[in-house]
This record gives sequence, C-alpha cells and structure tokens, in this order.
Amino acid sequence: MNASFYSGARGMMTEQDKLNVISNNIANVNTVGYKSKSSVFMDLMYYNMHSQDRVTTGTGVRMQHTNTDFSSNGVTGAAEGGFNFAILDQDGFFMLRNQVTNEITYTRAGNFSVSLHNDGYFYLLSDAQKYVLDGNGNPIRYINGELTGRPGVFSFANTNGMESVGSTEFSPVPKNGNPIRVDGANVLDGYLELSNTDMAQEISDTVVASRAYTYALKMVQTSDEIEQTVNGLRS
Amino acid sequence: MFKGFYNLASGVLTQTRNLNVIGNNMANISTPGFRQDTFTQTTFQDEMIYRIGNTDKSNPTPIGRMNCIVTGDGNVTSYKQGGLNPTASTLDFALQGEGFFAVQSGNGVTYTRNGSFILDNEGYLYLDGVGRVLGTNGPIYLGTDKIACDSLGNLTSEENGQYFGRIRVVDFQDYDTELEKTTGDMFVATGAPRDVNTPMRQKFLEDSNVDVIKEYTQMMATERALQSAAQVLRMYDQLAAKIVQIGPT
Repeated sequence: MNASFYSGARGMMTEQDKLNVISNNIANVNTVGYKSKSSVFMDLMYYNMHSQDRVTTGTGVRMQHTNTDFSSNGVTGAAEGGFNFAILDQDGFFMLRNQVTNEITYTRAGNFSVSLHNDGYFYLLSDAQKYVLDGNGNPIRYINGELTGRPGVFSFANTNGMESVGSTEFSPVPKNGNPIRVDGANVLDGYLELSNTDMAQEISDTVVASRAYTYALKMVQTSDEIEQTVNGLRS
Repeated sequence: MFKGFYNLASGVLTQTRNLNVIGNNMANISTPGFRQDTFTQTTFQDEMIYRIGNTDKSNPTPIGRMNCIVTGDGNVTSYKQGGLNPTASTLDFALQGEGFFAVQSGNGVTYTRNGSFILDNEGYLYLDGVGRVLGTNGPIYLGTDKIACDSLGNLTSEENGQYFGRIRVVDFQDYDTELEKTTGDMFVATGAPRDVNTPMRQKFLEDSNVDVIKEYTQMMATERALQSAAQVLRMYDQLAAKIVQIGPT
C-alpha cells in the first residue's frame, strides 16, 4: 500500500488526539482548580523512497507531548458553609494524602469538606476523600467547630511534566524536585479557583483541528482512489 | 519493443512517490517548526533516436531525443517562516527569521526550528525525543521553568534574576546542500554552522509552513496525472493484446 495512505491516516489520528485534549478542557470549563492542556506534535521517521539520495519522505505525525498550563485564572465566590480555600499566588498547591496508600498528590482545587473517622475525629478531606495536609504535612482535624490548622501550600522548582492523576490532582515527577513549603502563602477562605480553560482558545483550536482532520481525510480518500486505479489496470 | 509499459509504469510509480511526500506534508500541518517538502521529478535514460537506412546502414541520422522513464529527482524543502502561535509554556520558543536551534541528539548535533522544549529528568532544557538543547556554552541547566528570555535567547530566572545561559541559534550558507531532514523536525548538517543573532520569542511556537492550498491542488493534480498514466497503460495493454493476436492462430 502507499505510504501516503498511512501518513494521511496518522494525520487524522493525531488530530483526533488533539480534539480529545481540547474536549477534555472544554468539559472541565467549570471544574474547580482545573488546569488546561495543550498538545504538541512531531513528525515521524524519514526514509528513502528509492536508492537515489535525497528522495525521502516522512511517514506522518504523532503527538510529542502535552503541556499543562498552570496559570491561574482568578477565583470565584463559593457557596456558604463549606470549607473552601483558594491559593491567590500563581505558584503552589495544596498537599493531599491518600487515606489508604498514603500517596501524596497536589491540587489547586480547594473545595474541601469534613468527615468523621473511626478514631472519633473529624478530618478535613478533599472531594476524592484524601486528607488535606497542613504546612507540616499533618492531616487537619476539625475540633469544636474549628480547624486545627490551615491547609499548607507547597510549590515546586518547576511544574514541567507534572503528571495529572485525575480529580484535578497532580503527582510530581523526579525532575520537578522536592516540594517547598510556601510560608505566608496567600490562601483565601470561602473562595475557589476557577478552571483556567480559555473557551475562545479551545473553540478556535477545535475549528483548526477539525479542518486539519478533514484535510488529512482527503489524502486517505485520494490514496484509496489510486489503489482503485491501480487495481483497475487489468479489467 | 514494449518500452511503453515501463515508461507508463514509471509515471504511476513516480506520482505515487509524489503523493507520499504530499501526504506527509498534509499530516504535519499542525507540527511546530515543520518544513514543507516538494517532490521534483526528472527524466531518466535520455537517449537519441537515429534513422538508419534499410540496406545501407552506414549513415545513421539523428532525428530527436526520447526519454524512457520518469523518476524522482529529490525533495526541495521550503524554509519559509511559519506563523507564530502563542502558548502557555515558558519553555516554548520561536525564531523570528532565519536560523535553527541546535540540539545534542544521540547522533551528534542536529538542528531544528521546533522550539517546544521541556525539562529533562536532570533539569536541562530538552527537546522531547531528541536531546538536550544547546546553549552557547553547551547544554543549558535550568532546574526551574520560571524563566524569562530576552530576544537573543538569554535565559534568566524570573524569581531571582540568576543567569542560566543563552540558547544557541545557528544558520547555514546553503540549506539545500548542507541540510538533510530527519525524524522529529530535525535537520542533520554537512556544512559548518555559524552563530547568528536571530531574535526569538518566548511562549510562542512557530507553525508548520505547509501551504494548505498548494498541497491540496498538488494532491489533485498528482492523482489525475497518475490516473492518466494508468489509463494509457491500459490502452497500451489492449493494443499489445491485439498485436499478439495478429500472428497465425
């Protein structure tokens, strides 16, 4: 079969991947603390089409990586009565600990709640039922109508390549370095961080990706017609 | 005798190769820093045709030239500047004007217009899947992504102004003979690079420079050229079948 057939198909697949990323951003336009992602492509292997040098062609495209935009898009007033927090600084995350696995994750979403545990204490928990930790890395309790501490804020030397692990939580990779406690972080009670999805950007990206998809589709169609022509050489 | 078969088949084959190149361009319209290729064709085995007498064969007279087959000659890569697209990552860079970023890959230094860098596991500026990005003094250690960049590629910390290094930008005398395309928007150079001061923009990526309308038109034209060659090939086959039938049955 023609390489053009597969290049066209790879073009379609990659644009489809891009649309998946975009649609996830759009779906999370109202998710507290959501950080939007963008995709970056790279081309694939080049080969010689025949023995002569410099008559090469590539074999399509793939997604190289996705970038997470960690910029903040402001805060919204939250419903009364909840335990809501927003980090006003551009940097920094709340630290969460899984109750069972003790795995540490980080989030910008400060929509917490309190819940009674077997040991008779009320604990401050995230939506995904993880402990919210204070600046010293200890779970925060709720005693006599007051929290025993404030949620700690931790930042990293860089956030490049931080892994999304669901529920708007992130898990650092080795290159992000160790978490650094931010003393005197600006944490606001009763507010929540907005999703930073930019709808205008996402919609225009959707248009571009869907046009590019159609365009690659035409290449597949053309290659198909060529196969038909070749097959019809002998009637 | 049946030279036409090969002549026409070479037409079909060459147009197929042309479509492979077009297909790759079309697949890469969203690849940052991608440079468009154009396939060029050439004739092959150009030969003279002579008239030779029936009985006296001593004075052959040339009556013209004839080409046997058509084949690929090479790819011409367009180095036209692509548009700049704003991004959110502080590790994205785009060149405004001629030049390339230098990247230390496994096979020596390679060159690219794709500035969608990340940090590698040790904190060096890195082009994913290729290698560390070279500064004027070798790989650039950052360890943070909170960086600022001036138009000459000097990287400083946004927090305390610490200087990290300068992204190296090089250019070549003659792109067509000195550069060869490889995987990942990369070019391998045979010529000597010279350092240039091409301005760059942080938080921007250069778009692919594929001309959509040109590729689309080329695709249609190539398809029809291939179909024409195939159609004549069929007619040639039918004619040859008749010749075979002329003989005594």
